[in-house]
Formats: sequence, C-alpha cells, structure tokens
Amino acid sequence: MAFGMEPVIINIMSNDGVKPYNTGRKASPKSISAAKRDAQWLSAIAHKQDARALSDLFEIYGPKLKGWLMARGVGNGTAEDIVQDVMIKVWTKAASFDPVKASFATWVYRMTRNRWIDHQRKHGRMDVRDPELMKIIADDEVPSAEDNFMAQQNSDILKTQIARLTPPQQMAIRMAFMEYKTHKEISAETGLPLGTVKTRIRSAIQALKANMAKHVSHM
Amino acid sequence: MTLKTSQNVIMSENAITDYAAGKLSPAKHMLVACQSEISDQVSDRIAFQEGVAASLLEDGASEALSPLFMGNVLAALPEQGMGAALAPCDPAQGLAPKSLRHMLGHGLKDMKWKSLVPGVAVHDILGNRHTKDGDRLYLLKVKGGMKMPQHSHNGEEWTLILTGSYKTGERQFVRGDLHIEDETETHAPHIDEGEDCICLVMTQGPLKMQGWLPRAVQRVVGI
Repeated sequence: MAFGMEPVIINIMSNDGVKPYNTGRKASPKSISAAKRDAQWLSAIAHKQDARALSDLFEIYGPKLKGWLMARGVGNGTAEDIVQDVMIKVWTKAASFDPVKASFATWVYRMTRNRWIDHQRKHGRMDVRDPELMKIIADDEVPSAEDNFMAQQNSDILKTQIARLTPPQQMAIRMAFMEYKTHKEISAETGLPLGTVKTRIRSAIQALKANMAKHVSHM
Repeated sequence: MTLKTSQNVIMSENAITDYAAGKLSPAKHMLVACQSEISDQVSDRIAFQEGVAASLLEDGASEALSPLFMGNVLAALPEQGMGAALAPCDPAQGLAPKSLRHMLGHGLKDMKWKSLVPGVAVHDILGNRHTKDGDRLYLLKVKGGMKMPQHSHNGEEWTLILTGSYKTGERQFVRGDLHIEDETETHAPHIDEGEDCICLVMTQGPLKMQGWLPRAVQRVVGI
C-alpha cells in the first residue's frame, strides 16, 4: 500500500468520514472469518462509496487472481487488465452482491474466470459472428437463491473439508481446479488412464459434497 | 412451458468441473452457461464447484500487482451504479436462456433460419461449420418426426436441447439436457413427433456422415 497513492484515497474518502469496516480490520484474524470481513468491505463499497475498502479487498484478492491468470499462460499486462476490469465491476456492482447467496471469493473468482474466457474468445481464432457475445460471456449474475449453501459461513467450512480429504482426493481436486491442464494432459503426465483421471476427480468432488452436507444443516 | 425445467437433466459432472475451473472453450462455456439458466439443479452443481475453485484460490500462486496498479485503478473509478441491471426475463420469450437472447438480440420465435434441407435449418453463432479450426457454435432446428442421418464426429459434439426432444438408440434427450458425444461414437438422432427440436450445438469439425447420400448432401449444404 505504500506506493504514493494515499492522496487519491484521501480524496475519495474525505466525503465519508469514518471507515465503517474499521472494527473488522482491527480484529484478530481468528475472531472474524475472511468471508465476513469481505462482506463488510463490500457493504462499505456499496453504501459508503468506500474506495479504501475496494483497495483493501484487492490487496488480498488482486495478487491471487493475477496468479490464477498467469498460471494459465496469460501475460503480465493482460492479467492486470483483467484484474482491473474485475475490480471496477466489483465497484459498480457492489450493491448487487448478497453475502447470503455466495461468498465474495466465489463471486470475484467467477467474474475473473468469465473475463478470461471472453479474452480467449476475442483473441483466439474464433470467427466472431456477433460482437454482442462479449456482453454475455462477461455477464456475471449473482447466483440464484438456491445456491445459498455456499453462503459465507459455509465457505469457511468448505476450506476445512478440503483439508480433511485424503491426499489422493486433494490431489485430484487440485488437478481439476489449480492446474490449467486438460484431462488428457493429466493422464499423459501421471500415466493414469483418461477414464481413471475423470473418475478420480468426480469421486473427490462427490466426497467433498457428502462431507459438506454433513456440516451444513440446510443442504 | 417456462424457461426453467425442474426435471433431472443430463449433464456430465466432469463438464461441470471444467466449466467451474475455466477450462472450457468459449463455445462450450457459453453452452453450459445457457444450461445453468434452464436448470437450477445444474446451476447449484456449478455454484458448489465454483466455491471449491474459489477456496483453492487462496493456496494458489500469487503474482504481485505492479506498484502503480492500485493507484491507477482507484484514480479512474467510474460512478457507482453504472453497470445497468439486465432486463428481467420476459415470460413471453420463455424458452430461450437470457444469455442466448442477448446474443441473438431476440428470442427463438423471431429467428432467421438458413434452411439446409427440407425440415432442417441452422443459424451460425460462432465459427464456421465447414472448417476444422476449432469449436463452432450454432442453433439447429429439426422438424418433429425427422430422422437425422447416421453420423460420427471429427471431434466432440455438445448439444443442448432447447425445445422438442429426440432419441438416439435407447437414450432420450429432452429440454435442458446436454448431450456430449466424442469422435468414437456414431449416432442417428430421431426427433420425436410433434414439436420442432431446437438445439444449441457445438461441433469441432465437419460431421462424418455414413452412407453416400448423406455424404453427397453434406457436400452441398455443409454441417
């Protein structure tokens, strides 16, 4: 944060007075979950036009999102352009974020992924028949009310449950989400038959779902 | 009929994982986005896996943002509320997912179809059905009762059923189902009597027709 941008923040902050998320920020990490902290920042952005809360959110998520993009072969400049687009979208759409429906992490991840898919479409070899498509792929709806089992308190349970999976199950989940490899490439690399790779990923996710169901009452 | 179906729809769990992980091509990604609008069951399955992907984000590699990044973005923030809300679903347009309607600019009723052979029409959305250079996306409309020629594929074929239904072998596909076939499978979909069957289709190269007549027709009309 120490890079000569304080005047900008002060300008934006000057109309707002007290930073509403201050209590949350000072709390010890154990007393407040990441999801709750994020929801408070989001609320400050939506209701107090709090640009400091936006920069706090992206001090945490920006490098993670940039890392996710660069792990998929996106160049440094493009990765920052995508993160910037997402950051502006969080600013303009903060009011439509509902912490009961999804965690901020899920919301911002979905936006970043969709922006990246859109980037591939624009810069890939696709023959674009309709420029309007850009709007749709980049459209990030807040999920429907039925998704509420991913609500903020549950995103913390999810982390715990991923950590409790067996090592092979954790590896399968990591292969599926963390590495930008097709099932065929994973199969070639590990020497496992393609069907086995798919089955392992599927059953690890089923196991995670079953464990979550035990810990989340309304699932 | 409404946009949503409450039926159990056919959808591969691996395809959901790849969608959530951002591994699908733009054409496939679009297809799954449309299916998730039709089926709450699918959107719930996706939301769960997006939650998994988001929690793994914390363990992933970080890349520091350049020193000027934050200041530049904050200095250029637009007014809030600029992202106009999308118009709510128009029940009269019921059957087309919103993503598809936005892309077409209208619903399925006002489509300008290009007729291939009597009873079969297409509308290209992305890519070129005749070439092999990647995924292509198009709408296909087939008259109720028609039998499509026996064919296999050069790559994968993903079909999302929007209206009507068809059978291939013992399996029936109805609205909301996503039917995925790869190059090893041969099929001859038989459209059920009655309603036209409209599908959103992704193919990866010209279909491989069986028999001389379909092949001759294919040469003339494409697909």
